[in-house]
Amino acid sequence: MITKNLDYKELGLMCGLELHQQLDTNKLFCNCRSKLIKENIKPDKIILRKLRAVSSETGDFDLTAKEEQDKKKLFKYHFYNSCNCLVESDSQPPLSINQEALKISLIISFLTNSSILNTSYVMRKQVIDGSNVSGFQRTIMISTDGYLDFDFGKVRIDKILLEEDAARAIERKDNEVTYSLDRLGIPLIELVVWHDMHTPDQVKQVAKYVGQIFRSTGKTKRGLGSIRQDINISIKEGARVEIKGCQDLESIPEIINREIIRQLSLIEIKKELLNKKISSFSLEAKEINNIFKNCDSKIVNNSFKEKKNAYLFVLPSFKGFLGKEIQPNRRLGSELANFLKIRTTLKGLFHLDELPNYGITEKEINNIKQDFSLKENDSFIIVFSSKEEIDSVKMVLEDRLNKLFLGVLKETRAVNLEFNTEYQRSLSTSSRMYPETDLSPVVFTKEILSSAKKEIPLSLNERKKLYIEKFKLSSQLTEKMSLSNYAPIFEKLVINYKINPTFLSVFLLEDLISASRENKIDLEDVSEKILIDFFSYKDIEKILPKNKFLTVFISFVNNPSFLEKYILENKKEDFSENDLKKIILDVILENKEVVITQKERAIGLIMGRVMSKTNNAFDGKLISEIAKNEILKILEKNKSF
Amino acid sequence: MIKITTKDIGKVINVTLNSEKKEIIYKGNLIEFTDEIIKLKLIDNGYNIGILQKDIKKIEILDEKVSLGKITSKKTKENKDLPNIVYIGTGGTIGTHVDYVTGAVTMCRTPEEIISTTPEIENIINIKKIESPFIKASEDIYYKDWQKLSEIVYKYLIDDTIDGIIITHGTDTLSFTGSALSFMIENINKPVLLVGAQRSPDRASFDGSQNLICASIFIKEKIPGVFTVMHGSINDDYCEVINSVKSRKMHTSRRDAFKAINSQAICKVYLDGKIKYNLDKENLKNKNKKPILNNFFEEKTALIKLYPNSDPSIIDWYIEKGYKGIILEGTGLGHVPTGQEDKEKLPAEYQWVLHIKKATEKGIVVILSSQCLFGRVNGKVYANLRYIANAGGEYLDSHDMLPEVALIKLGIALKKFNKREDIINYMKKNISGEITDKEVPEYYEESI
Repeated sequence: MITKNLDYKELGLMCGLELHQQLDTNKLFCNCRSKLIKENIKPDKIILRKLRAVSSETGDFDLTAKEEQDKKKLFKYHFYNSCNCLVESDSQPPLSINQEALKISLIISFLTNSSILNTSYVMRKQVIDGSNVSGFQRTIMISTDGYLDFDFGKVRIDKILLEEDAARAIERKDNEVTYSLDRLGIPLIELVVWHDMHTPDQVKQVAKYVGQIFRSTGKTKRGLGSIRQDINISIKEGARVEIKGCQDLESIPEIINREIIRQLSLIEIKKELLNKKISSFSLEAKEINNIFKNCDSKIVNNSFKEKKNAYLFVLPSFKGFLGKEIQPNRRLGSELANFLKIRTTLKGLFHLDELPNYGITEKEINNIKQDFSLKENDSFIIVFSSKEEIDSVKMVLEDRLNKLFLGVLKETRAVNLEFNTEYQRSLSTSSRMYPETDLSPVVFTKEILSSAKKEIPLSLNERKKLYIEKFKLSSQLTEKMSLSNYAPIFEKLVINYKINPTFLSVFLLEDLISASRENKIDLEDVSEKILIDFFSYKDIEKILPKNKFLTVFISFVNNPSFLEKYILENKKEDFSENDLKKIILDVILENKEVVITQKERAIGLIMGRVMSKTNNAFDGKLISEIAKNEILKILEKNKSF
Repeated sequence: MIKITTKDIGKVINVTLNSEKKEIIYKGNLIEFTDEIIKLKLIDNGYNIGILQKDIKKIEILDEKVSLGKITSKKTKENKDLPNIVYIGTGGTIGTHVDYVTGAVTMCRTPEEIISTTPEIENIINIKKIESPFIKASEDIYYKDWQKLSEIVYKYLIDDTIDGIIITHGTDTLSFTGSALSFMIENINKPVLLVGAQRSPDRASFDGSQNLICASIFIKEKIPGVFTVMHGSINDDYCEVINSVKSRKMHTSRRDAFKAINSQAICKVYLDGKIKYNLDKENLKNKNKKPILNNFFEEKTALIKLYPNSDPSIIDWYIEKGYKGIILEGTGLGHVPTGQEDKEKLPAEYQWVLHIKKATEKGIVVILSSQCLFGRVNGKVYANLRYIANAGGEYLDSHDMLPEVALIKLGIALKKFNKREDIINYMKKNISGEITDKEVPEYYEESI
């Protein structure tokens, strides 16, 4: 285990980044809302589908046992009428691409100095894990060859893509995966940063900055999972490894450091194997059911119940290797087990370096050693497998062990909870892509480009200057507001609708967030339109008491007619008793004729008119008293004429 | 600067842009070009892009090759224990091929290529013979194609070594072809199954495979007739087997586009081999009659849809063109604007009675059907309808034939018989299940 400080320059560390950001528009190829469904909401329909492995270009259908199993997998899709339509269920061709999402991707291209293509074609990228109902993901290239300047140097942006997000897996069983269709089709910007970063901190810095660029458009989704980062890492003598699914910026350096350690460990193991003159593994599976005849291990007995056999693979001179820690708390044995889990139907393996354990005792271990006359430095692996699958298990294990001689492998790995990484799949060289036959090409005309240009948001520094100097925000609020994706709408409301900046920023950054934490409001419902509709209400700041803003807003989000009603009902605060007297007098004078002819009986008419003029703000008794008085006065006056 | 020519299509080229700040080069496979734009498939990542000619500084043709996708084709193997079928490919989405470079969709899969999309059918049936009389998008199919197809089908119906026939077909006019076969061949003695797809075979979500598998499973049931076998629901779980004359494409894009109208699917066939019958299987069995081919078709047969403001003089045009038969797709029970009974009269130029009368006087057979699709026509409920009957429009004693089915049946009847009376009698008679004798609530409620 290497624990000393890592010298990144010495290691030749090169990192690249892929950032995926969900956009807050309707879906990319239909008119559905991009809204995620809360947990425990019953779907309107469950759709069952299967996907077929499409024959490869050479015409082979040679599949591993695992792939055969995947082929039989049933996919269950939770369909919600509120955010799905036939397009997501692969029952209708796509509608033309969402123009707003296209515009945002152009703005991001401008902000990263990227060259926008003239014409681009929506492509189908084959995905058969069920996360895309159609069996492919639609994706389009927007721009290439951008760059960003950092204090440590220039970082190149390889390309910017716009694609549809995949369905969300909510349950995985052996033969069945359940997905929610809510996320499928949400526009996703993918920005690919060239491997110009050489320390974990640089990666974090770039990821943070690009995230800010995304948010500065004001059109990105918020919350966990709305931005996802993949990191490419390689070191000298290592290989390019792609790590998927880093959601949190803060964990990026830790993930990179742990991956460097893994690569260094594998390089070291490779050298040690050479030193020990081990040059290849040739495995043979030996059935050893009799060894476990009287074993108490639950795992072992359950495996026998499932009609699986125990098989032994002897690894000469390999003792100690599988127990080697290659990342903190992760051994070579776990790496091998993880690989086996992905490529076969097996759940894992046992190896000598971790035994006795799991109910397997010294007795069984000694029996194995005796029966197979193992030497002191020999090691072994035990697996429980069906007779049918053992050949492919052998192949997979042998293959992975022999790859130890290559050191680090090019592959895609996933981050686990401890920030270690686990094998996911081999790095696909170029995934099968072909044009989406149901859509016309997208042409970025001068008109489209200039309309996007008009909406380029202020840069962070411009923003800060505006907030402090013009809006007079405190430095603390400026810091928060300028980084928030509410920034563009905040500016619009302050400039166009003259809303008080400090009040508005507290409302957006604090009141709304805490209301959402208390589940009083779903921030996904707080769209730009809702905010503008609310704050553009005439004199809203004067009419609505500050302490009522949030509650009225929450009701408004659910029912936009609420605001009008509320304001009418609460207008009485504006009328004093003196005002009332004046209004009553006016009404009496307006209806003088009636009063003179009908005398006191005119009270009903007068009261009705007054009540409607004061929006029912006063008690009827009070109005009646005053009105009676005034009518009498008028009649009195008339008498004297 | 190097100019590209059509010879360079398919070659790998480097295109350098006229850019001020930085050098931008796109390396790609040249797909096509015009004077204005060139289209590339980028080598590094597979995206297709278009570059304006005026933005190009330099083009370099490289000596590299890219391997293009090719369609797989399956050699069929023989398994003597399984039912023998003849496979007939006629085109349609199920037989399309996407060019993985250009994205062009062509109808070019041979039957062998279609079978290769679903190799598991070879564990269910034994493909004895493969035929392909034509390969077409189904909207292009016309009566001569039905005639060709019916001859091939007939050939194998009288061949004792064959247990059934599977025909892959475009879905748009699949029911038309099904009806044509149903009337062109009398006494069909084997299952003749029409199978299509709503999603193309390039996708992992291709629905045609399930349809092919379910059709293959159904062959062994030995139920004679022409049936449509397509998805029964939005799920990939079962297919419905529907008498083709009672099936209709009711959705533009869903997998389960085909529904039984005024009828029920005869059964559901599940992917695991299970079959659930809605109708009594024994009644569907063969009556041991010999098939007869009679595939003449009167092409001068038309289908006209009625609607408010519709112009009846269209009939005069058909008379002039020498038409022999017309199916009117009327509103409701089979109504046609007559204007005879209303207080406020419909202007004469919208009244159909005189035109229908003129047509029947010229010997044209005019038959009413309903655009409701569900339910029967009836010429006796409203007084207006009697004017049509008096003018010679036939309601055929409340039939429940779909307008398209009536059209094809009439086209065949017009060639089969000379006398109007015989034609009408044939049209009235149930030949292939197209006219049912009763309707139960489920026919409507479970269909849509």
